[in-house]
Amino acid sequence: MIFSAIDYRLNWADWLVIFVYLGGIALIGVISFKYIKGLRDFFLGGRRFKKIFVMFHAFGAGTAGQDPIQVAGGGYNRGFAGIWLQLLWLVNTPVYWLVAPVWRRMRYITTGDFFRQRYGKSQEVSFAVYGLVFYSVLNALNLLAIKKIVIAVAGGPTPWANWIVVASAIMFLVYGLLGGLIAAVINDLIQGLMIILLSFIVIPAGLSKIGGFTGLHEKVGVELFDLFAAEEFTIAWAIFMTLAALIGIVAHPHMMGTCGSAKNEREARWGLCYGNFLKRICTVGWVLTGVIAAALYAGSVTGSPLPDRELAFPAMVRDLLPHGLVGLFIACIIAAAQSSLSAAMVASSGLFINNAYRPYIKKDASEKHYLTASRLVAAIVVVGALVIALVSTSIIRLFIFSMKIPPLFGIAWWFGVIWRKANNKGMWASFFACAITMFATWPWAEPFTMHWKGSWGLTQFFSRINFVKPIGDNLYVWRDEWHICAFLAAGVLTMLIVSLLTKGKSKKELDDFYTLIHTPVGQEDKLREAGIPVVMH
Amino acid sequence: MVEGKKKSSWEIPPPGPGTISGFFAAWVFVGAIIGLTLILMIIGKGPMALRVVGYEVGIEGKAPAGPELDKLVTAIKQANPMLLAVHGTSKELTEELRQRIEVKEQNVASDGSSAIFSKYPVEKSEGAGFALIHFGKTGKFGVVNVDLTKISGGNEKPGLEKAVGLAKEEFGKTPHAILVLAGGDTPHAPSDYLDALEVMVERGKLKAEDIAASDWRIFIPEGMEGNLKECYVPTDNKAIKEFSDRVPIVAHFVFHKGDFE
Repeated sequence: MIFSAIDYRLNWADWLVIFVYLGGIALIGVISFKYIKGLRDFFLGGRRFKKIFVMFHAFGAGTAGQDPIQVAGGGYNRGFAGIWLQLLWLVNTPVYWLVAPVWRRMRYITTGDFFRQRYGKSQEVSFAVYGLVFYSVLNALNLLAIKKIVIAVAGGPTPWANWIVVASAIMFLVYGLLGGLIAAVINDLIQGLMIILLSFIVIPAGLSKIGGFTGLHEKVGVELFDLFAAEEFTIAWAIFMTLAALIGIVAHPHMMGTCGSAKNEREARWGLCYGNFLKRICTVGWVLTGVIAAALYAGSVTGSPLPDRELAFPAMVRDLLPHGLVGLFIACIIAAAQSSLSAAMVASSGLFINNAYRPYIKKDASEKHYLTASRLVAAIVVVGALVIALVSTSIIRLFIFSMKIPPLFGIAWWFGVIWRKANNKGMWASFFACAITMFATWPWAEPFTMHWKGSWGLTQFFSRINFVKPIGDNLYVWRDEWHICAFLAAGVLTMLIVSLLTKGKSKKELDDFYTLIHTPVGQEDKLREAGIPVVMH
Repeated sequence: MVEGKKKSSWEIPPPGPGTISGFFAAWVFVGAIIGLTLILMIIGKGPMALRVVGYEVGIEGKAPAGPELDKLVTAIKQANPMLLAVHGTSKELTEELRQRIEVKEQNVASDGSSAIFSKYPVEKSEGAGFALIHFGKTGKFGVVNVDLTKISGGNEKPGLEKAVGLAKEEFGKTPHAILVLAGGDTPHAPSDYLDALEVMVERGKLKAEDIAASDWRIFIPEGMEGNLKECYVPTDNKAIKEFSDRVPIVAHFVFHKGDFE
């Protein structure tokens, strides 16, 4: 039995690998410290990075520790359809090629700057608050992944899990707080290579154990090789989640840092687009690992299903890899977590300082003061995430939550960039319509019944298109598919209608904004000549 | 902007150099990644054999509860069967399973000891996974892949013979389970099938009252590898002999339609 040996311990080789890794990244943070002269260096790395660094920064920032764990879990439980937990970003990736220059041309420090310029101060501050909450959840997801892995490798609940989570948080705090985005981007290069290694590390051993692909298809059900599952990862779910991801990605605050750190817009689009393609390739490795785990643990090899699907990946590592490589796997997961944590930490502190603290709480302080405050806020966000991680158990629930929140601001971002008529009243109306619909149709809300004439046909239709799930006699709950469709539609339609009916910013302000994003990087002189303020180029 | 011409309210940022070609190149990468996934799926899918995955749950003489029941439910969810047959259990356990597993249609015996749960209408369950839970001294849980598009039966050409033919013709390999859905409104079960049951009665393996006119019949052959000890091998009937030669049966369960009313 896989989880019977609860006295399993990492041996000296595993610990050596983990400590070498953690010590190394802390050292990079300390070295980077001397290059941090001000906020521009801390938040945007001095806008000096070329495409390879931006690529690995985008890859690292976009690849969180929980990603391999949950995709492999989905693969274990639902087969290849589990890939949609991450592949929902695939069709969005070419869009990055189009929007990366827009972010870079904005020349802002944070996405909060965009909301102030395009909509107003209230939107700026609310986005800053959202950023802190969003990244606390996202960071908690990363730390929770580390915790799960340690539990799985240890063979059961162990105090070591929490200690390793705390140690990881301290290490990335050290290099993130000291080195800011410079340390984060340099580490992303190392961490990115480790994530690639992680993605394929266990596949050869797993295939060998079950007798290759021949053994795989004999041991798992044919349905595990379908691209969509009958449950959970349905085609409708994939479509609506992809849409939510496309709308929401622009409201991930670190995207401004990822593109803004690039030397120019060409480096930004290459880095963002192909850095994310690297992740998509790794996703295939993760889901294959999960399907192999299904053959190993749910199939006839052991005959013992895992108690939690998110244990599939670490259970395979524990059972198939030798000591040293187990430690390397843990270091890789910590690397994946830290790479996105550091980007999140820098972005969230940047948001709060630039879009709440400096303009509205303490104006005209020194650069050093804001730098110190930024580091303090980053630490608070990480501590908040640490608390959530230590008390949470389910990665998938936190993940789904983290996917649904960004469209609240994402709708306003998209309309703000491409539509002059989008205004602050439309933005707030859209935000509240989206939030209220989201709350009202949340899938774990109370079950409902339908009693009126013809209701059976209606619910049958809704059931067929995966909008409702029957849970008993004339008792239904809304499914995620309907839920996402409903709140996105509510947000988009409200933005359109209210913006058409109300007046927004002056023509001069709008002209200034659109001239800014229509002017390529390197032509800032033209902007100054036209009297258009450039926040930071 | 041309003076006097009304400007559109839509503001698409102008493409810089390489925007369009790069955008299409990115889609090539999307296609490559989807292709890679599909290739792995096709390699993995291969010529899928019907098979059985078996688990043992429960403590001897007792139905599973607490962590054991959680383990069973986890295993069922993992298997994701479209049909779940429960046999020899209690009303409470059947109800507990019904609540914890997504159920679209259900047929539960009045005493709760047997049940068939389905996630979809049977006729739409193409390529369905099928799970059976049998509680004797120890709970047994098996998952079998049954291609329900090959359903035999109906009033016009009922019987096991057709199932045997299909088993030969369609399955190619020895199937691990044959699910016979001998439903319908008439009180006449397939004659060959009744023959088989009579043989079993003569052998004292089955009570006469268990012979129902219209039932769900589930044969679990030796793919369960000894998990299910109750063994009926109805070799006296020619058709069933042929069937059992082809599909060595180690267990046989009868779910009476009358029980589900």
